[in-house]
Amino acid sequence: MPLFMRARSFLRSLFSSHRVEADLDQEIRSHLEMLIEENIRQGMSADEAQRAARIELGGIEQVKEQVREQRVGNWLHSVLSDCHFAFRQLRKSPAFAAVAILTLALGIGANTAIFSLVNSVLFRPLPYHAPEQLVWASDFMPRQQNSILLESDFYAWRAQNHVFTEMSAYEPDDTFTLTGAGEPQRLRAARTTFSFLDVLGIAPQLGRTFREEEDRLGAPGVALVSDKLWREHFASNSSIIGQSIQLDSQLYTIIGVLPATFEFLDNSPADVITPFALENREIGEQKAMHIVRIVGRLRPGITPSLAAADLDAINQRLFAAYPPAFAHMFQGAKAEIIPLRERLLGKSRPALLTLFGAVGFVLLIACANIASLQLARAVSREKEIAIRSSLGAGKWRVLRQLLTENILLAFAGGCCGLLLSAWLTRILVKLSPSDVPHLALARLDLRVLCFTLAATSFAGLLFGLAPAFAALRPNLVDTLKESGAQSGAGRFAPGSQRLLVVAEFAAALILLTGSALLLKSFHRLASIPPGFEASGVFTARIPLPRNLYPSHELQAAFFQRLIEQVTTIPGVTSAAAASILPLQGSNGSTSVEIEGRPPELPGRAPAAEEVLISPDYFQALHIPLLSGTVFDPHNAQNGANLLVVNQAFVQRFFPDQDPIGRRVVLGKEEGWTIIGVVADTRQFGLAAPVTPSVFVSFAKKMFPEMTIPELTLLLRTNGNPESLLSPVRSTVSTLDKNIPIYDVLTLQDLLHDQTASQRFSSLLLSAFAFLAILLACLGIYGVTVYSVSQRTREFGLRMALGAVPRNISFLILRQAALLTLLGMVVGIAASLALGKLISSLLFHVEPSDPATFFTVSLLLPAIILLACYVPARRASRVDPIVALRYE
Amino acid sequence: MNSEPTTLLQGTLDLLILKSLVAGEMHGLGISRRIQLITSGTFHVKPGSLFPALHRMEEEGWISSFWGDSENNRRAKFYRLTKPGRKQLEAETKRWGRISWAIGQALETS
Repeated sequence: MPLFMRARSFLRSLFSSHRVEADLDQEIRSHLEMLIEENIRQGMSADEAQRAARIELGGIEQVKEQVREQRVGNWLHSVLSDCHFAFRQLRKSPAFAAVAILTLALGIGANTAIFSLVNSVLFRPLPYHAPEQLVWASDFMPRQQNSILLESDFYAWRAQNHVFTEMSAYEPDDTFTLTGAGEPQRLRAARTTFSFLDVLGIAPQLGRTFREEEDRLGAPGVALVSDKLWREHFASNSSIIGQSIQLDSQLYTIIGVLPATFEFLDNSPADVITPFALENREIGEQKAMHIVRIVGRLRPGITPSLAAADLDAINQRLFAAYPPAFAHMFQGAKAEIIPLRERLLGKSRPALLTLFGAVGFVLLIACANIASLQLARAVSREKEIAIRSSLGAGKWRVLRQLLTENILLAFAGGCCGLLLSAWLTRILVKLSPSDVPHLALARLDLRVLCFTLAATSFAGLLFGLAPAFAALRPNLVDTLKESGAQSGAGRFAPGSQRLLVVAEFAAALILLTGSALLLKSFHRLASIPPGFEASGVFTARIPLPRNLYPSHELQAAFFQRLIEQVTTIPGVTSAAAASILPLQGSNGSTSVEIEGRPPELPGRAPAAEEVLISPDYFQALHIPLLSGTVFDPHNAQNGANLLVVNQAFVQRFFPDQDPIGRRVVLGKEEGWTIIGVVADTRQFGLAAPVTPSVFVSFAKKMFPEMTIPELTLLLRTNGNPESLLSPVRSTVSTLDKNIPIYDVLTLQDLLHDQTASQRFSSLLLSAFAFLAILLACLGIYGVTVYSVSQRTREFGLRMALGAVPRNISFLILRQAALLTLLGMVVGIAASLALGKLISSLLFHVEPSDPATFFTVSLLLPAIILLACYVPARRASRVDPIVALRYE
Repeated sequence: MNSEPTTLLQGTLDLLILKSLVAGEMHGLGISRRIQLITSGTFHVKPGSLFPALHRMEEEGWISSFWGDSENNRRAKFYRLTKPGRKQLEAETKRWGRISWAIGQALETS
């Protein structure tokens, strides 16, 4: 049975290889001896007979090798022996192996870590059914550079479009206070129209989703709860369907529990979802219009641009019927369709891909380094390879042996890299800005492992192939004849090595430039004065349940009592409250008209941000008063319409005048008097321009329906602001045990978050650039050391002929400088070309910033030349006599 | 003896080895000499081709080997034809007959 025979032979050559080998050896030897005997019988002398027999046989080892190659188990066997030999080779040069494995571990570890971030953020499938059909839709208004959709238009779109199977409006970032069971709890909430879960293709794990009749004003309250709330608050009790919960002191019936994997849109978590209960109203009605967000499922085969064209056709009819003020606002507006994936991840993509690219460069540099080390070793291994070839090893056999060695090296590096990456990923997740969705979920999964495997194999091939081919030089005889290790070195190695060094250097320069640009832009951003003193300020949001505090009077009275109480907490130097913190955006804007001036645009007054504050707000935040006065407990309450404005407001409305005492119209309320001007603060974030703002005392009821359901408490302390949490909590619950506090953070945290993503990417890129420079230095150091050792005799000769040490150092440094210059030219050209790719990450810095390029192109050569200085000095100390006797 | 032996066609060596073993069990040198004899010195099989072929054919199961004593009482590895080997020889002989007939035809046609 051939199969059986083959299997037996395979097993034999695997498990009793030495017996098989001995058998073969004896067979060939007996053949040789029989040949000799035959020759002697034919009348040759003993010597002659032996010679003739050897010629006929053609070399015992070669014949044996040819037989081995015929065997079935040969392939596996030779791979095993290659591995064994490679392992011995690496053990013979532990320093080389250690450097190579460490370099690779760093390269592959960093790559794997960044890839696991990219994997968890960019490659993760969205947790919805057929997510590629889901889009986000809105009207983009060129005048405002803003996208909004009015609730009445949502109804028109939904009824009249031909491109969506269904669309739903939603509003994230709502909040509810859950009361009635234990401590009051602040819940993240969202509101959606009834078909929201159907659009996403998600079914509740328990119960059902909304019905259309539940999504109407005045319908009895129903709610969907998250898996987290269900588990934490209702102990995973499946009988909660149909039970009531108290949200903002109103009763809602729980109709369903969302699946554990459910995520609300826009990276905004939601513990409770309630029906939106929008009204399909005429746009002209004197009632506030909801601005909604839309998620829709496109019909199969419909592209976003087709969908936008369809909605634009509907918009034409809608805009024609708008009242003039709206028509003005929506002039030139176009339907904007963004794939949901793009909307959720688009912002994090450039930074992550930049980091991914950068870390790829690091791996390339690492490979170049090892390749260059291997080239240097290949020169000294020329003889070994020549001997192996003459003993019957084929070209491919030698090549395979060298590749095996490199792949073994790569895998050792890959394994260490994987371990390193597990640790690095944890650190990266900790450092990462919180606004990148799903980053915290980064971990090693199958895809990451596959990536590591691919990167490792790629690296092994990359740095293995060049030296392997270089080593396979055809001329065996010359190599064997050559006297010393030195003579053969000049032919290929230095050339390829220099090329590698130039490439490494260019890559390092690209990384250094990129990180310098990011650092500069981070510095620009971080050095913008926010307009307030952030350190030592505790903040927390205090919501008042609507049924307990239905009126402005009750609300204002509570907040006033609260501020009085918290002022007495030890360590608190000033206490204030405001409707919104600086840097957090808008809490509402108001139109502004100056009394005694005609309106600037007919029917459209300019707007200013409106912030409700308590009298000590400016003092608590250390916002300087520029002129006039601020509120005091007396003027804040006595009913006068008083106003503090910021400097931007003055520049906008009173560029060359004294604003103090001027009267303005806010919205429809006349007769507001400006009493003071304060310095600007960044309301919309550090990077955003300062907007005109007006500050009004929260105690002042501006219009009859005004309420203040929530304010943020601000406490300045001379101690640690974080220690204020428990006294504040107990103060609040002493005043009213139904009131929760939430979003507790220090102003410093808030400021820190502003620069978090810039800090993250510039920090990482700098780390990669540092690694790249370190590797590039090692690379050029290695090449220099090697070329010095090759030229020892030449230097000896030069010195014997009268060269002084300085000449020798100069000779070496000149070579290094040449490589540096070449690398620099390539690197700068590449950096300029790649600059566009990171321009979206830069803040007020051009990708071709001359100062950065200038600094980098001075800094890097200086570092590199320093790395070459050591071998250069050593070479200059060569004793000519020793050097000439060296061979 | 031909000093520049005719290059063996692919597959011919197997056929020659099988054929030479029909005469009885033989060691490597014996096979080599037997081939030389039966081809009137046209083919001189060198050890570099012979041994790989023998080992391959043994794995195929066409021949089997055992250690024995040579005519001069030297330990040598002997090969003998197996049943599958005889079948293979038949098949190869037929195939070769067809090829040589075809080539002969082709060359005679002018």
